[in-house]
Amino acid sequence: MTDRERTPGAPPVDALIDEAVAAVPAAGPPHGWWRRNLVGIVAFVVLAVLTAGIVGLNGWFSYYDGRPSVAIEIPPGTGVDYGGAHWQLESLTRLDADDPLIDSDSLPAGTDVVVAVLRVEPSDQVDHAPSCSLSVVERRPGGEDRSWSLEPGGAWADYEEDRETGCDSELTGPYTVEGSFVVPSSADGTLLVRVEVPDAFPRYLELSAR
Amino acid sequence: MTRLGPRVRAVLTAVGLVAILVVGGVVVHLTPGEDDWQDGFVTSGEVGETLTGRTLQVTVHGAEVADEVTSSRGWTGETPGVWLVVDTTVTAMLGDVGFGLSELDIDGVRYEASERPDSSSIEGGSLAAGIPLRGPLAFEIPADAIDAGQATLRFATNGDPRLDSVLEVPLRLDGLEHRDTLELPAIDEGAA
Repeated sequence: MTDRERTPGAPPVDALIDEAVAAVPAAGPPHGWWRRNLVGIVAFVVLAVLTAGIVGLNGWFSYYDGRPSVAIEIPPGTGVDYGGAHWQLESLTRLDADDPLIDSDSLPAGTDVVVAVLRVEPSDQVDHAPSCSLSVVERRPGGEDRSWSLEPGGAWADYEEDRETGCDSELTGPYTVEGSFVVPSSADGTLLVRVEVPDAFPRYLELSAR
Repeated sequence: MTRLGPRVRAVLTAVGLVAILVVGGVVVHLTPGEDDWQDGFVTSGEVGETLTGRTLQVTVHGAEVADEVTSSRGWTGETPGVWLVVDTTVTAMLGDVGFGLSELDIDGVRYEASERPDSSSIEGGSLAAGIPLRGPLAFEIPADAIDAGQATLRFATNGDPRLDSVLEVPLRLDGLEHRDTLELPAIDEGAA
C-alpha cells in the first residue's frame, strides 16, 4: 500500500519492517535444539562406540581362542605342565647329510635332519596322554618364524625301539617321543620345539634346548 | 552481511542437494566392491624370474607343448587337445603347505594343472619351508587355445587365493616348442 494514511501514534513503517525481519528465525536449528537433545546425543555416541567395541572384541577373542596364539616359552632344561601332561625336552640334535646316522639317499639336497627327544608324562587327572602336534620352529631376529612338521619315517635312521615317533593319545603312561624333522641347511636361526594340544588352545609350548 | 532471500536459499539448497548426490555417486562408483577388497595380493614377474609372495616362492623356467605326455612311471597322457607342460620350482616360505593353486588363464578361461600325471607332476604337492620343489605342471587345453598367443600362469598355496599372495607369470604361447610326445621331467626336491 502506498500513500496510506498512518494511524496517529503508530510506529514508523521502517521500524515495523525491522521488527518483522528480526522475528524470522535464523537459518539452521534453533539454538536450543542441541541443548534439548544433548543427553540423547551423548548417549547415542557412547552406545555406538560400546557396541562396535564389544562386537569387534568378541570376534577377535573368538579368533584367537581357536588357534594357537599364546606361546608359553620354556627355558632349556625345564619341564612344564600343559594340556594334561608334563613335557620336558631332553635333546634337540641337528645332523647333516654326511652324518652316518642319516639315510642320505632319502634326504633332499640342501637339508639337515633335526631330531627332538621329548619326555611326555600324562597327569593323574587324565585317562590318557593328550593328542598333540609337534613342529620345529626357526626363530629369526627381525624375520618371520618358519616351521616344519614331523617327518614320519624320514631320513633319521637310528630310532630307539622303545620310543614313539610322535604324540600318541592311546598311551596312558609316560613315554618318550623321538621325532625327526627335515629342515633346510640354510635355517640358521634358533630352533625350538613347538607343542600344540588342541584342548589347551590358545596356549601352546615352545621348548628350547639351549 | 545481507540476509539471503527465501528464493536464493531454496536455490542454494537444491544445488547443495544435487552436489551431495553427485559426490555420493562418485564415492559409490570408486569404492572397491566385495570382489576388490577380497582380491589376492598379486606379484607379477617374467619367465625365469623368482617371484616371492607371503607364503610361496615360484620360478617358471620354461614351457613346451605336446600332443601326448608320458612319465617315467609308465603313464601316458592322451588328449583330444594338447598338453602345455610348464617347468616350475616352488618353495614354501613359512611352513608346511599344499601347492593349492596352479592355474593357466587364457583370455579369461582358466585351466587348472591336471591331476592326471598324479605323482609325476608337482600339482597339489606338499611343500616345506625353504625346501624347493622343481618339476612339471601339465595343463590339458584345447588345441586352438595356443592361438590366443598370450596366457597368464597363476600360483598360490590356497586354492582360494583371496586375501593372500598370488604370483602371476605371463607366458607367450606362440613360439613354444611343439612336440608329438614329451616325457615329463623327474621331480627334484631340495636345493640345487
